[in-house]
Amino acid sequence: MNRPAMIFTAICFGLCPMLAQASTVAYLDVSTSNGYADTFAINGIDTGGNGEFYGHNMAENDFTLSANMLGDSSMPRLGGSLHVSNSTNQEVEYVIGFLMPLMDVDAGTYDWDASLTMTITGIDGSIRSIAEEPIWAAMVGDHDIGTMFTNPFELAFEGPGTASIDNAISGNINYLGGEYMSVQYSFSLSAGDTVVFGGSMGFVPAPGALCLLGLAAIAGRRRRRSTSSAQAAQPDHHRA
Amino acid sequence: MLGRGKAWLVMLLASPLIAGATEPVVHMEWYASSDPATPIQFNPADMGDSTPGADGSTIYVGSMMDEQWQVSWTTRARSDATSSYLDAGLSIINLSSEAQSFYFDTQLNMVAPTGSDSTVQLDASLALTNMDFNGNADLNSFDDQSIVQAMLGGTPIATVFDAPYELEAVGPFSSAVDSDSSGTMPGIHPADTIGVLTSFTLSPGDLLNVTYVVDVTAIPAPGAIALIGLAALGCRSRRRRPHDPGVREARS
Repeated sequence: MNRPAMIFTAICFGLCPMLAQASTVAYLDVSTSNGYADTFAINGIDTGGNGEFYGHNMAENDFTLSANMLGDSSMPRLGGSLHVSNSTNQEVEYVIGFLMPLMDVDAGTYDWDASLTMTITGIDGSIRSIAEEPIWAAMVGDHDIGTMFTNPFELAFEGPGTASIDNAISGNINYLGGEYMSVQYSFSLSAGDTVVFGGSMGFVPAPGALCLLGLAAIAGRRRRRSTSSAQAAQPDHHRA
Repeated sequence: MLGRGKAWLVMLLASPLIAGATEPVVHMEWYASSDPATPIQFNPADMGDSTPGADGSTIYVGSMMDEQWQVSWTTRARSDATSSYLDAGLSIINLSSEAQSFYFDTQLNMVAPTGSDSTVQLDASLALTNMDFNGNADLNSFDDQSIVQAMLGGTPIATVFDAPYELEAVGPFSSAVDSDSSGTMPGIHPADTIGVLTSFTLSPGDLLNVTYVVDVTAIPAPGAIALIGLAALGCRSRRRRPHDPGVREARS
């Protein structure tokens, strides 16, 4: 599914849950060249100063996927990991999109930074870009933020092993509004191998805004400490 | 006697196939220094999802979360009479406001125990990400341990990213990667499990992806090579026999 269609689907899917509950709802869109296509709504879990966590695991016949994202909807930033393992005996193409809602972001000019790590693991592994798509592309609202590992791109190794690469980009944006921050991963993965992406991107606040955010963080930490001490007697492990 | 011998040979040759068809037995253990409820020991078949791979492996995927940490794994395991294989992608986010130490241990029961007649190879990559607009991300070795250790029967056999080790991602939303390989090592220790232990200290609010592959391959003993050779000769002569009458007929 392309990004405009995914955004439309996400809005249709998400309007009711967003109105019904306080936590934000993000969307994970997964499609493969083997004919799999689905979109998942993921409820955010508040992690205090780190923003909200969005997690989703799945094991299909042809692949497994684990998405673990941390995001902040009000001061846009989004980061985390994405694992995809190809369980077939042939190369498979994947297009995976993740959308996080934006809330109360002031229009203005912002500096932004982004980085991406990519590691493949297995035997005789390779990852390649597909069609005209970059491996990684990001949008904030209606603005294209940037791309990394543009077509043609290939990372490969022989025998049992791993290979890794990283990249970073930065720039500034005249943000005029928008409802989502999104990243899209498009790639072809060799048979029987696994790719793990790690990355983060976000707006970098101006120095004055940083002081304000610092004060807010200190206040938030105090509040969380008092809450944590009350909950310490009941540690809670749960699958995301 | 000849029939009973053939049946025994078929059973011997088929046993790895039978063994390889069963789901591997994998155990995991997770520890976070901020969390007194850890270490947590679990079977990934019970904690998450799994799917069989076309290569005879089983792929486990899952995650756990607490106020102070989040961990997720994608682990592929395979074991038969001649080789055992374990690869994984682990992602750990330190959700606390302090640097925190972690370890993640994965153990696979091998179908055929190994000894000095095997080789081991460990390859691993680290990918560190600063998830915030301020500060840097730091990864350090923990308790003077290598970041990634391959174990045979609980004894380290190959290590990468040896202590003291440090990796840093500098700047907002930055990242850093590193890769290492042990090369091929002799098996040495007799063992019936293969494992990988990753341990490290991670800065607050940041993400570490650890990926590794460990491959244990048996080197056939001279006796086994002779047996395989005899079996191959036996099969070839049996295949030739049915054609012989036809050849004679054509000649006559």
